Amino acid sequence: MEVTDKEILTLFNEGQENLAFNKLMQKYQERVYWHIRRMVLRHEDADDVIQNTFVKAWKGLGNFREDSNLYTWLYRIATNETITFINKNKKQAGTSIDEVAHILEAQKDDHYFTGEEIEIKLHQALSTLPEKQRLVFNMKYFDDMKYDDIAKVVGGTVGSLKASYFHAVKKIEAFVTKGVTI
Amino acid sequence: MSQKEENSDYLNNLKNKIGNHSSFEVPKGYFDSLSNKVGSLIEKEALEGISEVNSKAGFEVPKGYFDTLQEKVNTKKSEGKVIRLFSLKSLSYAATILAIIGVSVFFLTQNQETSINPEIETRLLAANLSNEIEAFENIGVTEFFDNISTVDLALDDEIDFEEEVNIEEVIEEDNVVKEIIEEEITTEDIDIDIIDFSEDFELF
Repeated sequence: MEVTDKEILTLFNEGQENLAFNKLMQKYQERVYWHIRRMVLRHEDADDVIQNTFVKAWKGLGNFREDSNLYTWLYRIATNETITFINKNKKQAGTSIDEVAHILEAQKDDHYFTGEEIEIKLHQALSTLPEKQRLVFNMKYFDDMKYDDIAKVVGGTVGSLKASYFHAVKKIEAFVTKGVTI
Repeated sequence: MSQKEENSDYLNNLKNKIGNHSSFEVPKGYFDSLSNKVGSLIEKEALEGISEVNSKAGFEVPKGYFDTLQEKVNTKKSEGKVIRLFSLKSLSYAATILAIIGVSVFFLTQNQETSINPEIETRLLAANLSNEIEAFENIGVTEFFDNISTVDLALDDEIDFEEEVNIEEVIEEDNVVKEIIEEEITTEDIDIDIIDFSEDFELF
């Protein structure tokens, strides 16, 4: 049975910090990794960002308030780390449609990406979205997250996030079906 | 409205095809080793932090100090054993009190043309001393908590500090903080002196 957040925090507060942290990583590392990877695209970059994310989580876990949710708290740290990384490496992060295709093709060579053309097109479409909209789309589309939880990660109201997702869907649809950016 | 209803047919079909991870892959065994990598990073940072604190703690020494230190120690050793009459802590308190009294006397004699009753002067000095000590204590505690806030602010973006920190609870719960503060502000001798002075107040 999967360890609960409460059990992790109890272990941490009882002085078994390392054990608690190992359990935290075992529980959340994959979900957090994919959240990052979908934004930075390259495995090597996602690897850097996720390590920084969990180092920050380790430093902040003592201050974590139990009325929050570990999952959304980690996503929020990961999101901040990802945006920081993207801002520092604008040229590498797939800011243009062509760059996205190039990055994904290169990842294919290393067997880190196995998608077909249609998926490359989806990621190209995603690259045309503003970062926050892209994050909202990813968390809703790929992670099936509730808008309440997405709001805890990126802020905003449920209404604004729904609107953001709706706009993202329209833009992606226009890009993949008509090849236009709106 | 469900996600399927919000998506276009194209996106729903694509989701069915690619699942939640898209077609990204990771190296074999990547997630098995990730926690060890992060653990090493944390350990490395912790060790760097410790060595930095232990080596300097923000203090500097004069250039060449350690080259001459051994010689100085050897000279002292040959002069014979020194018996310390007072502890350094007591001496530091005494020196602080004397310095404050000295400065206070200086300003009182500079600013007042008429002579003051010696006992009133003593009371003024005591009051001044009390204020100085109180200010010193308060500054010490405030700065200490300012530093804690700075550390917390590094993660401010990730953590929502909606609850106000109760300083008394923090001191009570954190033994390290408690010890530091107690060591910094417990000056029983000084408190007794102040109480003695104020008790004589009725004489005037």
